Amino acid sequence: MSQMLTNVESLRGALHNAMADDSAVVVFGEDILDPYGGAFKVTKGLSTAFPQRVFTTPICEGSIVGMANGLALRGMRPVAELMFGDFITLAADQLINHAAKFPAMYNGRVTLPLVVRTPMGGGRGYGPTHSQSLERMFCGVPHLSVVAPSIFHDAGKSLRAAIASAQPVVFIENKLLYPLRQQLHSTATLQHEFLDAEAEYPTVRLRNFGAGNSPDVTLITNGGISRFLPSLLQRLSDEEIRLEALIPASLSPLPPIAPFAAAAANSGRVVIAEEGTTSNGWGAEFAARLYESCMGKLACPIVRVGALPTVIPAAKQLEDEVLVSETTILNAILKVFS
Amino acid sequence: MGANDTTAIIVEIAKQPGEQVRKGEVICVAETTKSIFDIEATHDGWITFLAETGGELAVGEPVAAICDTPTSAEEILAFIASVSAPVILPQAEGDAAASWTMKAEMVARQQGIEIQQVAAVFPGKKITEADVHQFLAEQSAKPISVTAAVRDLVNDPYPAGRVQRLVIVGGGEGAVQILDALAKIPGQHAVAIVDDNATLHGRSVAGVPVVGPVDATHVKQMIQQNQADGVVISVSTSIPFRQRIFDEWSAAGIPFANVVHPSAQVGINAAIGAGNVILAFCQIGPCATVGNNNFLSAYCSIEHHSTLGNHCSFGPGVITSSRANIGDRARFGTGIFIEPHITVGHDSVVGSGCILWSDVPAESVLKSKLNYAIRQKKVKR
Repeated sequence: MSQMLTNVESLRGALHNAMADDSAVVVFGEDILDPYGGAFKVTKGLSTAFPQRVFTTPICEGSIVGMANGLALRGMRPVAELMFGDFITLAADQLINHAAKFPAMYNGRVTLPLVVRTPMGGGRGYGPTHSQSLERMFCGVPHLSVVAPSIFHDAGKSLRAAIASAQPVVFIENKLLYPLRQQLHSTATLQHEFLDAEAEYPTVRLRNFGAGNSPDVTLITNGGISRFLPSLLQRLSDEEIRLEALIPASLSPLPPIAPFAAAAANSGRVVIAEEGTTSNGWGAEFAARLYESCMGKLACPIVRVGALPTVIPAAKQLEDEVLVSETTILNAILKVFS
Repeated sequence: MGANDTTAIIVEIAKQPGEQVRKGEVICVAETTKSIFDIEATHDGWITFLAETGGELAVGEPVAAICDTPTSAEEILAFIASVSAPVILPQAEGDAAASWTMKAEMVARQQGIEIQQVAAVFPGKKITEADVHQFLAEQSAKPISVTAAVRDLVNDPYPAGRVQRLVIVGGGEGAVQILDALAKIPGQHAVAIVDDNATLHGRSVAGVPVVGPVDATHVKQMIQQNQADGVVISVSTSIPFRQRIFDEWSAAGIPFANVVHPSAQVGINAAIGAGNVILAFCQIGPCATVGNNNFLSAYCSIEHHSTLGNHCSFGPGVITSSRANIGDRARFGTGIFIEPHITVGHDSVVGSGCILWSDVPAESVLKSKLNYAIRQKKVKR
């Protein structure tokens, strides 16, 4: 098997291919032109290949997304990059009050094929305003998709799906995933499959055990947390604990709950892990949906794991205390199992 | 290096191998995802490159070495290997203790045994879930040695004045309550407990051995072999279980005994059947009738001229007034008052805190609707 692409290579390739395939695709954002190629190098080489359709913008997220909305309304397929996900708050009005509403307000006579790409997540010592995972603030907005591929997804394929979508998409990239290689196939110790391979943004199922066994614990997670899973699944396998991890790429709207509910009822024990804080979050919504479908079928309450409800410190050791680690997830799994 | 990079590519080597360099001179150029940057000599000396142009190096890998004298790459690599040889730490004492998987430990705990018990059976092996299951299977398959297990402290061959030797069915908290009562009753004594939980077999409850499963043949054998005189059921939570054991074993000729705590009061002309457990501070009023196989927790009162059926289970503090009539298999919670002349039909369940003013039909379920407002107490500080 050829070596898998890194996440950043996959995304970069998808942008190149999307621009080559469709002249309506335009890409813009802060500092994305070569030779710098963007803060995280996802757009590296793009402005050289497509100089007329890749441009740099002033430091104004509201304007970037506002301009993208206008382009989308007029038939272009804009892909806007926000340098850090923390600054998506500045574009919230354009996303929530404009992009998500125009198609319905104009009675379906317009579409808004917009993609806003932005990196989220900490672990790099970037401090309180460059490390957050704010995607949950945009989850639950009607007609706005929030998509976050994991290392077990083909990130480029997800991005192509987002660009092809007629609906506005907030596309979350985790900073720590960029340099990691994607894992899209099973290995000797890890079963990888898609629950719904034909879905626009599919859900990955990982298992550290073979067919014929049922899982001890079900872990539901997304995006950046996936970086912990290869090691975590192996550790649990060594301890004979069978873990099934379900990793949806679509954070909002949530994918159909039935297969998740079936998995939860099968193991009876569920941990939900997310990168951001847990209150009123993605995991809370997921847990509520599961309870609606799994009343009486769980052996113990669902446990949610997330960042501590405080600012993210810049100092590495303090940051580690605040953010989710492999150990916090492991402890949650042991908690529901014992 | 950028914070996002774990590797860098050497794009240019600026010095000849073996060339003399000065501190601060550019020796090579590296590229990361963020940018291209120069690597400068950190010392004066002769340079030996350990990487090639185009090579991708992980963070921490050496690019080149600068030595005080010209040195070959082999010598430098040998030196690096010699100083970075892994240090083998001595194994701590008792390290072998953690020789089981977490799953094995959890399964053992869930089954009520210690993982160390299993580890002792499989010395030198990392204990797995399968080993724990094997251990449990072997434990429950062991034949029960009745003669050796029964605690017969009564060395009295004569029937008159003899201490009654009891077998208790169930080794849970009900058994503890019965044993507590028996400890205060000179004329009765528990010799064995039977319980279907295999993990209890071979153990003891308050000094009384759990000799095997709930098995009529086995218990009858104990009685026939003059090791026990009667049986009492300690399980109060399952009325169907109480009834099944009582009916089947009575039919098999196994005698049932009453255990009545010495602090309980029994009035004149009261009639009490067999197999009843009547715990501390209960009252059976004068002329009251109690059937068979009832379990009365502490502070229950079956008031005068009342009638109680069979196989009923009472939580603490169930108080009847006169001439109550309680059917079979009724179950009561805690703290219940029953007015005079009230009938509680068979198979009914009366929840804690109920006050019965009127008759309860058979197979009823009663739940108290008492509702309390709880507020924070105002404390003067």
